[in-house]
Parts: sequence; C-alpha cells; structure tokens
Amino acid sequence: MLVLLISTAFATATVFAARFYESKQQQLGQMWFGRGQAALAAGAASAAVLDFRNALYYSHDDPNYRLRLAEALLAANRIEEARSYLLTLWQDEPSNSTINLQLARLAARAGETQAAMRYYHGAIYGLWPAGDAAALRRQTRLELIHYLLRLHDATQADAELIALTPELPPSAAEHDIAGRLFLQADDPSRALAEFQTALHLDSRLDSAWLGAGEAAFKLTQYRDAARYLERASRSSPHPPQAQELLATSRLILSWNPYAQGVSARQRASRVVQAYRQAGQRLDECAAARNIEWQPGGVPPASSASNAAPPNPPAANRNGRTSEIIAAILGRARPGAKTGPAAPANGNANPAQLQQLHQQYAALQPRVRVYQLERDPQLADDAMALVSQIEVLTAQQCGTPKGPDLALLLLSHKAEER
Amino acid sequence: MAIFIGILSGLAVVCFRIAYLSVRTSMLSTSLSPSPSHLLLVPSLTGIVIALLVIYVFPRVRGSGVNQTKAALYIYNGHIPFRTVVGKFICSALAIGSGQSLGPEDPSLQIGAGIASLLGERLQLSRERLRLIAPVGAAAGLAAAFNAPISAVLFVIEEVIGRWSAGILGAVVLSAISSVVVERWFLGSEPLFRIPPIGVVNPGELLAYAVLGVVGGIASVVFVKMITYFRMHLKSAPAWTQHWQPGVAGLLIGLIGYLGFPQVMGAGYVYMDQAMHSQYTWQMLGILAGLKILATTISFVSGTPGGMFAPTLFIGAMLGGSVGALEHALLPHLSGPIGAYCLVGMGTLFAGFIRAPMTSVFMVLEVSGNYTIIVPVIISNAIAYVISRAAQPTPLFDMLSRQSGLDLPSMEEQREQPLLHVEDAMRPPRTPLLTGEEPVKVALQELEQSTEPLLLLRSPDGIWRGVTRKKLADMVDQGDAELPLKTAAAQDSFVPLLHPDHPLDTALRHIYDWPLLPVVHRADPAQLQGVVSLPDILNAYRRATGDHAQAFNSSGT
Repeated sequence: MLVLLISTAFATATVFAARFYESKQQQLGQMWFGRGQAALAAGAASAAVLDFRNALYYSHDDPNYRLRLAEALLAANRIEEARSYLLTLWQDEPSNSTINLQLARLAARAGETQAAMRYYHGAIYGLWPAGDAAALRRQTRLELIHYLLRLHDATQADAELIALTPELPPSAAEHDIAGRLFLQADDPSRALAEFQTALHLDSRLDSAWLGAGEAAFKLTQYRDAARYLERASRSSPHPPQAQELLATSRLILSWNPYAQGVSARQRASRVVQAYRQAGQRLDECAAARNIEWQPGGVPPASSASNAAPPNPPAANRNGRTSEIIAAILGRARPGAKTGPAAPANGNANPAQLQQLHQQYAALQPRVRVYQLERDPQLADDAMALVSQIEVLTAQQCGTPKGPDLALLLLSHKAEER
Repeated sequence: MAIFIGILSGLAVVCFRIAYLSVRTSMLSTSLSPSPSHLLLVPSLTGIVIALLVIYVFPRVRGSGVNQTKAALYIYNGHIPFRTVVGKFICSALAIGSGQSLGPEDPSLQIGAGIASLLGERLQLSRERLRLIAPVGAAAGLAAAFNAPISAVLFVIEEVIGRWSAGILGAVVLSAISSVVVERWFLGSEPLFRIPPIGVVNPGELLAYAVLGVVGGIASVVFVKMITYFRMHLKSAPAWTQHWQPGVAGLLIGLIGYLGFPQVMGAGYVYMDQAMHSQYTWQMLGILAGLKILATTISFVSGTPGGMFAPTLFIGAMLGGSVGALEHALLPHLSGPIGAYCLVGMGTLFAGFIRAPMTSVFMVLEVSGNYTIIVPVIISNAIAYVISRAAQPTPLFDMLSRQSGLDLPSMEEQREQPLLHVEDAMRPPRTPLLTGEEPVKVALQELEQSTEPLLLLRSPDGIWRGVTRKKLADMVDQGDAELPLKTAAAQDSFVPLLHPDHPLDTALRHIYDWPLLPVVHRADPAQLQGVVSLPDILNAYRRATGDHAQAFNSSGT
C-alpha cells in the first residue's frame, strides 16, 4: 500500500513537473522564434539562423520552426543545409506546397530539371498551409512556366499554360501576361485568345493590343494584325515593333493579289507588280552572288516606270520583329537575329537561280495586266513563280525587306493555305 | 511487476530529463551559444559542487552507471542503495546540465535499476529474483532515456546479464516497453533527432562505409586508451585532488566551448541533428569528433557522474559525417547523403567503443526507422568491432571495473568462450554392445575385461539399459549366471540418452547416477555414436582451456 501511495505521489509530481517544463519550453521556443522572425525581416539572415536553431532546441520537431530555419538558411545562401532541412520536412509532409516550392527552387538552381519539375508539381497540386491557395497555386504555376521557358521547353510550358488559363481571374493584366507567355511558348492562337480576353476586360491595355497584333501576325492574319497594331501604335511611347509589324502588315495587304475586296483588274496589277519585284530581287541576288545570266535569257530587268520603288533603305529591324518573322519563316529559334542579306554563301547553288531566271524570262512576256485579267491560271502561275523566287533568294541571299519581305510572307501564307 | 518497474523507471527518467535540461537553461543559457563568462564559470563551479556532493553525500555515484548496475547484480545480490539513485539523479543532472561532456543514458540505466532494486526489497523478493530485477529496471531506464526499447533490451542482455531465458527476456521487454510508453506520454514521441532522407545509392558506396569502419575502430581504440590511461593515473592521485578534479574538468571543457566549440558541451543531440543536416564542413566535423573525445575523457576521468552513450553517438556522428564528406570531396560519384554517414558512424563508434555489436546495429535502425541502411551499418560496425578487439582485447567496461577493484564477469569473454558439446567428449565404447540375450556370466566376463564402469545393452525394441558390475556379480553369486542378461536389467535401469549436439553440462547432470552414458543418433536412437564417462568430460574441459598436462583416466584420477 505504501509503495502504491508513493508511486501515485511520484506520478502526480511528475505530471506537474512535466507540464511546467513543457510550458517553459514552449515559451522559450516562441521567444527565440520571434527573434528569428524579426532578424529575418530585418535582413539579418545569419542571426535569424542562430535564433531559429535556438527555437528548435526547445521544440526540435516543430515543422514551422524547421521551415523558417530552412528559409533563413536560404536567405543566408547556405543552400545544402537548407535543402537538408527541407528534405526532412518533405519526408513528413510530402504534400506541403510551401516545402515543395522551396525544394523546386533549389533543384532549379542546381540544374536538376526532373527534380524541379516534380517539386513544382508537388507545390501546385499540394496543400498550401496558409494564404490564398488559388493565388499561390497560380503564382507557382507561373514560376514553373517561366522556368520551362528558360529551358526552351516550349511544349511543356504550353501545357502548363493551358492548365493555367482556366484558373485565371477576370483580370486583363493576368490574361495579358498569359498571352505573352503563350507567344513565348509558340502558341499564337491561344495567345490571341488571351489577348482578346484581356481587351474585352480592358480595351485600354496597350500591351494587349500589341500582343494581339503580334499573335495575329504570327498566324498570318494580317488584316487583324494591322487592326491591332494600328491601335497599339497609337499608345505612348510608340512601341517600335508595333510600327514595324504594322508597316509589314500593310505592305502585305497592299501587295496581296488575293486579298478580299480586290477587283480583277487590281489583282492583275498586283500580280504584275509582284512579278517585276521578284525579277528585281532575282537580279540583285545574282549580282550579290556574282552570277551572270547565261545567254538566251532576258537581260536583267531595268527599273521600269511601273516597277515598284526600290527596297526601303536598310534599317535595323527590331529584334522582336525579327524573331516573329523568323518564327513565321520557320528558320530561326526565337531570339536569333535575322538581318539583311547574308554574306555570300559558299554553298549557294547558281543552277537553281539560273533555272528560276529562265522560267521568269520565259513567262515574262505574258505577264501583262490584260492577259492576267482574262487568264486567272496565268496569274496563279506567275504568283507561284514569284513565291519560288522569294523563297530561294531568301535562302541564298538572306531575309529580304520591304515588298520582297511581304511577298515572301505571302508565299508562306499560300503554303499554309 | 515488470510493468510497474517500467512505469516507475519511466517517470524517473522523465524527471531526470526535465532536471538536466532545466539546469542547462537556468544555469548555462537559453541559447545554444552561451556567453563567455557562463561558459567558463558554470561548468567549473558546478563541478566543485558535484565534487563535494560525491565525496561527502553520495560516495557511490561515480562512474557511468553500467558497471555499478553489474556490480549490484553480481556482487551485492541486486542491491542498489536508494541514496545512490538520488545522488546519481542530482549529480548527473548538474553535470550534464552545466555542460560536462557526459550523457544521460547510463545514469538513467542505473536509476531504473535502483528503483527496481528498491521495489524488490520492499516486496521482500528472494535473493535470486532480487538479482534479476536490477537488470529489468536497468532496461526500463535505458529504454526511456533512448526512446528505443529494442536497443535497451539488447544492451542489457548483451552487456549486463549476458544470457537470456524466456522469463528474463519477457520481464525485460515488458519493463522497457512500459517505460517508453510513459516517457512518450509525457515528453512526446518525437525522436531525439530528425534523420534526413537516407539510403544507399549504389553498392560501391559500401567501400566508403568500410573505410568509416576502419576510422571508427581506430578512434574507438584511441578513446578507450585515453580514458583508461588517465583514469588510472587520476585514481592514484592524492585523495584531496578529488575535491577539485570535476571543477578543473568543467573549466577545461568550458574553455573548449569558449574557444569556439560549445558543441562539445553536454550530451550534444541538437548538434548531431545539425551534423546530419549538413550544417558543418568535414573539417569542422573532424575537429568536433576529436574535441569531444578529449572533453568526454576529461569529464569522465575526473569522477564526474554521467554516461558515455551520448558522447559516443556524438563522436560517431561527427566522425561519420567527416569521413563521408571527405570521401564525397575526393570521390564525387559517391552520392549518398552525409546524414547516412553520420548515422552509420554513430553505430560504428558504439560497436567499437562500447563493444555491444548487436545493440549498435539495432540502435541505428531503431533511431532512424530506415531499414535500407542496415548493410552499411553491419559492415562498418563489424570492421570497427574487429579492429577494437584486436587492438584492445579487454572491453572498456571490464577495464573500468578492474581499475575500480571489482572483478565483474566480462560479457564479451563469456560470449567468446567455446560452448562444449557431448561430441567433444564422446569416444567409442570399449565393450561390445549386448542385446540382453547373452548369459549373465558372459556379460560379467566382458565387463571385467574392460575398464568401462557400466555395461550397456540395447534390447531388440531399441530400449537402452545399463547394468553395473556389482549387479552382475550378485546375480552370479545367487546362481543366476546362466540367466539372460536382460533379466538383470531391471525396469528402472533405463539409461538417459545423449545426443552429440547436447551441451556437455547435460551429461554432467546424469553422470553421477550413470557412470557411462550412450550417445545416440537423433534420427535413430538405436544407433550408437559413442559413449561418455566422467573422465571423458573432464578431459574435454581440460582440452578446451588449453591444459594438456595430464589427461584424466577412466577412474577419474
């Protein structure tokens, strides 16, 4: 009986001692945690690390303390230590989005693409312990998209964008950003849809007008592109790429013999104009390549009164514009520059140019307005030759400017048709 | 009763942990980086207080507690004075909390054993049960301190009791589990440190762990030799020096902390956690391992009460992390996390220093909860154990007990002693095997011509009997010489049968009644494989001990 009494007293004393001890430990842990928070907010990452470690000493299994310590370690640029703590936390809470996001950033920084993807998805589809989960999820997905675009993984980025767009709030700015990202991911049709949504929400958003113009241009919808770009060019300051793309769009529209609303006579005139322009382009390219036409051909076309004015003086094309044009032509990746005529190409094939020249010379006598009016097939043949000339000269003498560029883009539109 | 002991031991360990942690926060600092003045003054002044308590109030609390528990079991019939338990509680809490480089597990073991001893004496248990109850309490105390019941049970069996039976094992397990339940109920079930994700990435990495085993083995030997050497010299110092030895030890350890290494003070679990999470460079880890060896040596040899389990784990973790990080730097294709090396290092030092190989393996598994680490643990532990045994044949606890003037049984030596079997002593019979149909006078002739003390006969139904010379002679004298031998073998003359794999002491239990015993085949009891007599048994023991001077003859001389 005495033993039981003493044991009961001992147990009771232990209960009180344990409760007192636990409350004391909590107090001390919270005190150090508070100091750590303050230090971290003040930018003193190293001091914050020490404070959070002290807090962990009193509650070594508190996940919140560990997470803050990991964040402090990251802020102090002690990456491996932070990763170690985060991995321990992730072991306990694999669906914690905050932890997954931090690990994703670390993996991205270390170049571990697969791991980064896994953790980003873990963050996106996991549980956010605090804050607006929907907004945080969107932000995280955006971060992932930016990461994928940096890796030039347009396909994956596009997939993530498609998943993002239904979650976007009714905000013009957000849709505008999505549109921009779709353009970077080489999905102009979805980009255009996003820009249109943005404009529907806020018609004064200049960046959306420009983006829509770029998207429409990429989709070779030049009439729409001109409309959007006209609006964008009215903003202040005037975006340079809007001006360039607008000029090119207008040129395309004015040179396109198959444009809507063009009469038969106008069509024939445009075909003649295009034919002469192509011939001039051919001669210029041959001259640049030191190619002389073989006897039997018509001498190089001289400037005729109804010939198109020479190409506009060479001007540095805006980089963004070059990217868009290059993307349409399918020659360069975004970011690569395409400039004026490339230097003489050692691999240039003069036979192809000769052949085209002979075809050109053979057809030239028939390319007259009155004949083209009566013979639509002749017009098609002439435009097909124009396309071939522009494509080949672009390959051999660099991307053209002015009307030749318009004709070249028209030839790509024709191919898509 | 085992459960009751476990509950009380669990409560005591909870109070003990609260005590030494409270001492730390109230005397040293609430921060992991105490001020310089605290670093120098607190351990030294507290050391002086501890010295006075140990000398004048609690004289039997020196040491870690493991040998003291063994002494209770083998020398003092399971008796541990309650005053010793209280003294151990107070002095160890002061020592660990003030920063001495000692651990709480060993004192917890002794506290648990003391509680069990007190309870057993109150309940007036028999001497035999009283001896066994101290290890039951010891397992409870250690389990609660470690939060690892399996390791505690194994350690007590491996290092304290040295043997197990169903009864002992059951009591030890029950008490360990109940103490852990109590400890977790009060203090939570969180482990002492969090283990980051670990695993073995490729088989080639096992070589790296083998290197860790070598390094750990060498470090263990150095550690043991330092402790035993300095302890021996300090024990022979004048008695008055004991008043200030703990104080000086505290000052030296405080100085180490003051010089930038406060990690070596106290048990160090929080720093093990940090090491596992790659908080230190390999150079720092190596320095911490070396300084902890030094600090623990200083604390322990000064006579400050406290344990060596936690410092062993600390040294192992730091050494493992250092070796692992260095190997990563030299061989980048090794991609296992540093935490794995720290964990394996803990087990390695435990195997090499404490010399409890089974406990060291299970402890690592229990603490980490990760089974994939078992192969590196076994490899590293085995190598460290072998190196430690080769360079230091006598284990640490045995050395310490002998230095203290106690001749306690060495569990390691007991494990290493060869177990003799019947087959080590048996020999071919010197008389032909009779069936019982032979006349008594013929049987007597056969027996008289040989030196066997007994005639064995096997009836056609496979029953073995024995007939003595005297019995046969009596029958001849009575005129029954022509009777078949089986009539001489009475119903109660069945001979106990032995098998070759029986422990030899099984034969000793029957040899007094039956001076010659048959050894038969397990699958066919009618098949005789040999016989064994007392001289045969004695000769076998003699051979095992290496004494080949003179064999015993058939009469036992």
